Amino acid sequence: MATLHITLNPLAVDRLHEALTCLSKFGDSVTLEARRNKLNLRTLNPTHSAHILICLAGDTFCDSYNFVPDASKLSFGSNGGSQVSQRLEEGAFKCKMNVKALLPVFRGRYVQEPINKERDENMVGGIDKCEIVLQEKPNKGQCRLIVKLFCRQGTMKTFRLQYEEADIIYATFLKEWGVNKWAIRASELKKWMEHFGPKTEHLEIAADDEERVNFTSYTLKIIDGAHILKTPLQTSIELDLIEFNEFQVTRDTPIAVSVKDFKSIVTHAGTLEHVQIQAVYGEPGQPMQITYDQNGMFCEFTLMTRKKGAAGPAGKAEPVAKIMSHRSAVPGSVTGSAVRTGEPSVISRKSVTPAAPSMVSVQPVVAAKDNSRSESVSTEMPPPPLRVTPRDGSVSAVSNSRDSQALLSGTRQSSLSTGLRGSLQPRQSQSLFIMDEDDDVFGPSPAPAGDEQYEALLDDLDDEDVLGWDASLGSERVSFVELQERAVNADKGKGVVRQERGQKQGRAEESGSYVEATQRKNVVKGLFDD
Amino acid sequence: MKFRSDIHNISLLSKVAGTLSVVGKIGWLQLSPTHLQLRVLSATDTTQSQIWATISSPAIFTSPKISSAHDNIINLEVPLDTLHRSLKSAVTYTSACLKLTKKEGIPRLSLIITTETAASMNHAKIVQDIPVRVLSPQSVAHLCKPLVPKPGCAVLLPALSQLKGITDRYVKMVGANGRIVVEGNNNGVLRMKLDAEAVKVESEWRGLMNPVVGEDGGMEWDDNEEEEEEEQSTQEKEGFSRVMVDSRDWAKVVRVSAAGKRVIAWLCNNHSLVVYVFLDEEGDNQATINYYVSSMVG
Repeated sequence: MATLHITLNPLAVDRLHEALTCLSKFGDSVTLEARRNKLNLRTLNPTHSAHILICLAGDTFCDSYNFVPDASKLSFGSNGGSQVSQRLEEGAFKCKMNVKALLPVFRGRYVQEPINKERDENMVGGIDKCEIVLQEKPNKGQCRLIVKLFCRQGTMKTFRLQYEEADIIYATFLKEWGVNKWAIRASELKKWMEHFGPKTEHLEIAADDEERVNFTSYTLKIIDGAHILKTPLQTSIELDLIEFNEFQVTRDTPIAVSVKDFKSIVTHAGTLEHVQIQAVYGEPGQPMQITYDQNGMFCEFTLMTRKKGAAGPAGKAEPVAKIMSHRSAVPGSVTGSAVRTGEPSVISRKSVTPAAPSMVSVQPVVAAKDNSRSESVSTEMPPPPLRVTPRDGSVSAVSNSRDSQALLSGTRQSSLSTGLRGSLQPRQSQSLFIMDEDDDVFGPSPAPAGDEQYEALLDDLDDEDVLGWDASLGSERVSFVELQERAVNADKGKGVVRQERGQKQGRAEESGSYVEATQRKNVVKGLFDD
Repeated sequence: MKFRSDIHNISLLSKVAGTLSVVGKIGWLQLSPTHLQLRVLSATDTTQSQIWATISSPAIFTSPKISSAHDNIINLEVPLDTLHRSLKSAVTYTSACLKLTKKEGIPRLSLIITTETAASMNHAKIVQDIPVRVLSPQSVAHLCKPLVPKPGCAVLLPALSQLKGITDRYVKMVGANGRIVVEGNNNGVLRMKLDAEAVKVESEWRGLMNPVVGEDGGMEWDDNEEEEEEEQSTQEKEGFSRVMVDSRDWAKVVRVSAAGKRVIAWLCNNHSLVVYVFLDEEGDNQATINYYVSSMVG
């Protein structure tokens, strides 16, 4: 039974509320992940085109933070040097809550300075401190997250919040994608973003030859003559490079993200004082990562990007990045992964950029043209091991739902397979390991590939240059009937999968990846969990 | 057809666009060398109302360059909320440039703001593109301000904050399709009445100003008519002119009136209500809004 006890001061409660407000603009639910020294809040938007991680450091954000993982969920198997971190990872407590249920709990609890002492002291909203305690009694059916607000004048308010089990969904962002990067003061950017109206969907960010940066909003909606006046207000803002604290962008990579998402991020960053927003991205179609942190709150947004004017493979739904989930790790799955390492991992053509050239191409706009060109040429070159987190069927839910998706829609095979990178297992062990080693209390670092999966990466170079998020992970799109059908006739299902794959790549290893019965059960359970 | 001008009074134009967007979504914008005119029509099953805003060119534009094949007059259809939003985002800047352009096959009014950034004092450029449709001179030739008879009563509306509060209550009481009767006389009295199923309410203001009415239906009035005023008998002064308007129309009238420094209502007995909203200080008619609402029968 995991125990979690957090104490927050009123200011932290206020900041937590602002963070939740920001999360609520992306999705309805928030996933809480308690680890030894930090609490992660994550949200994935419905189209899977944006993933948000807000990490609250136990020591700096919270007044006190105490998390003891559930001993029964820890793995004691020996797994080399990563054992310790793996144990931590496995013991992490994860749950999912409705963000709209959390918002009112923390709303308006902070009174900055009592302006009128008599009045403000009496304000119900003013609190002295806030305690968050996990009450996990699965056998008694009393699992609750308890938030206690110690108000002034000795009143205590207690909120007992229900939660449900959850998978953690990660967005991977490979450091190698960070070819382009810029940083700017949040308050400055917020001021500019206020000019953008609510109706345009996309925001293009581009640098031109004259050291100017353009933020342009546009719409992809086709508006015919009769409704031409309904064309949304298109806004364009041109800034001098000097406004940026850092700006290293190759000239030929204008990319576009969702205006609404970008505005939500900037608005949240603007609530923090003197914060610098850093954006890192590669080419259109690869995700953009926006980060900022202050006083123990680290925010990381992974947004899918696109070329200007390009529609995603699924129409409006953006093609998106590599997101993966895993079930609460069962110790047995470690061996399971070893068996299935034959599953080919995939990589898109565009991202096969050797590490060295991409480093070279990190140049200021003015000088980088040639290098940026060289990036997209080298399709023949094998990716360096660090490029890609190999995909693997280590955890059944992933490969199962993915295959189911393929069954449902063979046409999406390409974008799906491109989208899915990285294995859960290596991620599970190594990402945390890296973080601990680097003394990085914040956010997940991209997991490097395990050596044994490396060769598999070379198989799949003929995919489109558009990446996709792995949208299949939630299993929502897999009908229950579909799963049952597959359960009944595994061979047949395998055949279909193989057939579709075969059309594309003809992978010999495919048969090894099929999902077995125990894992199917997990997925079925997952349907209701989600 | 070309139009390009600097705007030195963004807030005035923003206020006009915002006010008119209360009444309708799309407006007819006429740009001419001497003035800017914006007109919105609002029609329901039972009533019809029109709102005309006129701003003299020097009041907002600095050295406008305008040319067209039709007497240098340009007629456009503009989405008012989009226009208002773009102007609102520019209000904090001292000047901006308005330009007729064409982008991606759509004619647009581009509002260009050039500003200096706070940090580096380098210039930054903000461009807001408003989609517009160019109207031919023929299609707008028949449009002109409505002709109203000489009003029986002209009255300076009472403090708008007060009027708004009371109107909001009336609208709530009378419901969506309710009717509100507005009466006034030349003795400084204005009454608002409603007669709903369950409730009957009447408000009365006294001691209001009665400005002199010009003959032509325009807004000018001159001192020559003072003597005519003198001739009006006490009995005539006491007589009420009455109009009946849709409650929502009246609420809009009050909202539009809030934009003005001075608001005069004309009550044309059982015919129409005309509200003149002066956006500038007294005596200056550089920017006005005229609101015409037809009186309902019954």
